[in-house]
Amino acid sequence: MLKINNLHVRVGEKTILNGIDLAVKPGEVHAIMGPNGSGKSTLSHVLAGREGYEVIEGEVLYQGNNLLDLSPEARAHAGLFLGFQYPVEIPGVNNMYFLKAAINARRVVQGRNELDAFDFIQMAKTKAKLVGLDESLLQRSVNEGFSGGEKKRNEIFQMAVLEPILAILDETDSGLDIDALRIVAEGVNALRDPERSVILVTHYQRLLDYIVPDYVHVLSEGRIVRSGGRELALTLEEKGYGWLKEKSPHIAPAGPGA
Amino acid sequence: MNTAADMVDRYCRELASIAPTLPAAEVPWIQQIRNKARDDFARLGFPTRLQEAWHYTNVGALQRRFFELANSGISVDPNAIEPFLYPDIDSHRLVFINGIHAPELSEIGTLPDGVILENLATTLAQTPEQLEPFIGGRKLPLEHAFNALNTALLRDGTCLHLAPNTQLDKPLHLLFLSAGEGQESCSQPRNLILAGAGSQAVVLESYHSLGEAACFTNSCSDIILEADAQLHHYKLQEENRHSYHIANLQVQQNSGSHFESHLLSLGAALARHELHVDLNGEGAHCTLNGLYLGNGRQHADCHTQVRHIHPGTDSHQAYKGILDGRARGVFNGRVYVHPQAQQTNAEQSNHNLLLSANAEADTKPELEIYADDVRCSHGATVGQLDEDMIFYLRSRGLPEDAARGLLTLGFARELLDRMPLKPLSVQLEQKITDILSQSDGMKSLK
Repeated sequence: MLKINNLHVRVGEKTILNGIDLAVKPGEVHAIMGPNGSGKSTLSHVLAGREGYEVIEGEVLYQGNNLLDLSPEARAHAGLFLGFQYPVEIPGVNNMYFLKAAINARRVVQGRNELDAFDFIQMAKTKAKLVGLDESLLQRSVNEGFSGGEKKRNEIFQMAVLEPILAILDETDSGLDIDALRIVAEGVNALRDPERSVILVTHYQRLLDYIVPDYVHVLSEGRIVRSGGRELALTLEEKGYGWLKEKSPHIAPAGPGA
Repeated sequence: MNTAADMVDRYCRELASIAPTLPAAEVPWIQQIRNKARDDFARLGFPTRLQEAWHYTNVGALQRRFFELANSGISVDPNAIEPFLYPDIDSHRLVFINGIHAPELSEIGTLPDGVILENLATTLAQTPEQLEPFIGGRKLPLEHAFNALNTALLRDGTCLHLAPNTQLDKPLHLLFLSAGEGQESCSQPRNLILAGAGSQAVVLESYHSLGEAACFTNSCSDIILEADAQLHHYKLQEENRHSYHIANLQVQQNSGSHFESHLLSLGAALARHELHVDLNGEGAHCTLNGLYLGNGRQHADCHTQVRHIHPGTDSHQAYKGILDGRARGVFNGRVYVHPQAQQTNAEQSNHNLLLSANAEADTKPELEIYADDVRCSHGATVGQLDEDMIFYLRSRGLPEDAARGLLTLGFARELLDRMPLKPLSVQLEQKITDILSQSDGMKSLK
C-alpha cells in the first residue's frame, strides 16, 4: 500500500531525512519512534503534502502511484489521513460544516453523490460516540478553545468520519493524560481494519501499550536505524534512545513487509 | 474646474436658499443652530489629509462634484424596497429616500406605551423642543465639517424617544435609500435616539442605493442612553460602488447603560464610519464591533473614539477588515481615559486580512490614558490567511480555493457570531458569501 524508497528531504539548507525506506501493507500498524529532532514529524508532513519540504532523492509510492505528485487534498481523496500533533484552531469555521465539506469534496472526486445534511449528521453522531467525543463540540468552531485532549479526540473523530485507508498519527499521545490517552487509543483500535493501515509516530512507548503495533521502527538523524517487533519499543523504554547510538550507529534498516 | 472652496461656497448658498423651506424654519433657536452650523462648514471646508483624523482618507473626489440637496419628490415603487427588507425580522420600519421620510414605504405599526417614533421633520414642526437634549446645548462651534453640513440642513431623519423602563417590542429598521434619477443626490439624515432610564431597544440602520448613480450620504445619529438603558445598534452600509458614505454616530452614556454596535460596511466607493462614545457614568459600558470588506478601489474607514470620563467604565472594540483588489481599509481607534476615570477597562483589536498583493490596511490604535488604575489593551494585525490552517483543511480533502473561502468566511463569521439578532446575522453572512465568491480563488463559495 505504501512504499517509501530512499527518501531524502530538505528544509531550507538543512537535510532532515537521509534515506528512509519503509513498506506498509494493508491492515498493518507501524510505530515510528525516535528522539526529538530525528525527523518523525517531517516524515508525517511530507507524506501529507505540506509545503516547505524539498524531496531531493527517493520516492513514495501509495497504492502504486507516486504520492509526492499529489496535492494535499488529492492525497486525502485517495484515503490518506494525517492526525496532527498540534491541531490548529480555526475560529469561525464550524466543525460539522467543515467535515461535511471535506467528505463531500472527496465524494465528488469519486463520482459519488454528496451526503445530505441529515445523513451526515447521523453518521457524525455515531462516529463521535465511537471515539468518545462530546457531541457539543461538533457545533463549535474547529478546535477553538478545545482542551489538548479534546483536540486529539477531534482528530480521531475526523479520522473515523473520513475512513482513511492509511492514517498517519503524528504524536497523537503528546500532551495527553492517561485517561485521555486510553480513550484516544480505544478510538484508534475501534477503527482497526484489515484494509486500513496506521502509522503511529510517537516519542514514548506508552501509547503502544494501548495500540499494539505490528512493527516498530526507530528513526534517528533522518534514517531508520532499527526495526523490529513490539519488543523493540520496550527495550527503548528501558534503555533510552542513547542506547541505540552507542550500540549501533549505522545499522542498515530492515524493512519488514517490504 | 471648481476648487474645494468654490464647492463649499456652493453648498452654503444652496443651504441658505432652501433654509426658509425647511421644517421649523420659523423657530429662532433652530434657525440659529442651522445658520451657525452653515458658518462652521464654510469656515472648516472639507477635511484634507493634512488633518490628523483624515490622514488616511482622502475626500478629494467627493468635493469635486456637487450633490443636489433639494432632491425630494422622487417616488419609489414599493416593490423596489423588497430586496432591502428582512422578512424573518418583525420590525417597525421607517424608509427614507435621499434622506427624506417616505411614509408610503414605511410601516411603523403599533408602538408600546411610552415610545415615540416619528420622522424628524414632524418633530421639528411640532415639538422642536425635543431636539434640545441633542443639539440645544451646543454652544461650541462644530469642528467636524460633515457634522456641520448635516446640522446646517437638519431636515429629516428619525426621532425615537423611549420613556423610562419601556422596551421597544420589535427592532426598529431605518432604511435609507439613495436614488439618483438623473442627478447626483445628497442624503443627509439626522437620527436622534433618547433612551430613558432602564429602557431597551434594537435599531438597525441600513443604507442602500437604488440604481447606479453616484450619491453622497452624510448621515448623523445622536444617541443618549440614560441610566441602565440598553441599545443594540446595527448598521449595514451597502451603497453602490460609485457612492460616498460618511457617517457620524455620537453616543452619550450614563451610568449602567450598555451600548452595543455592530457595523458591516460592504459598499460605496468611499465609506467613513465615525463612532464617538462618551462613558459618563459608573458601570457604563460599550461593545463596538465592525467588519469592513473592500474590493476594486473601494475605501473603507472606521474611526472610533471612546472617552472614559467616569470611573468604572468598560469598552470593548473589535474591528476586522477583508481587503481584496486594490481596496484600502482604515481603522483608527482612539481610547481616551480621563484622569478621574479609574478602574477603566478598555480593550481594542483590529485584524485585517489582505487577499491580494495590492490591497492595503492602515491601522492606528491610539491610547491616551491619564489615570493610573486602568486596564487597557490593544492589538492590531495585518496579514494573509494562515498557511497552517489552509494545510489543515486541505489535508482533510478540501480543495485549496474552498479552504481559502471557508477561512475567509470564518474570519468574518467571528464578528457575525457576536450579533444577538440571529436572523440578521444569517442574512448578512449570505451577503458576505456572495461578495467573497466574486473574489479570485474563492469561486467555490458560490
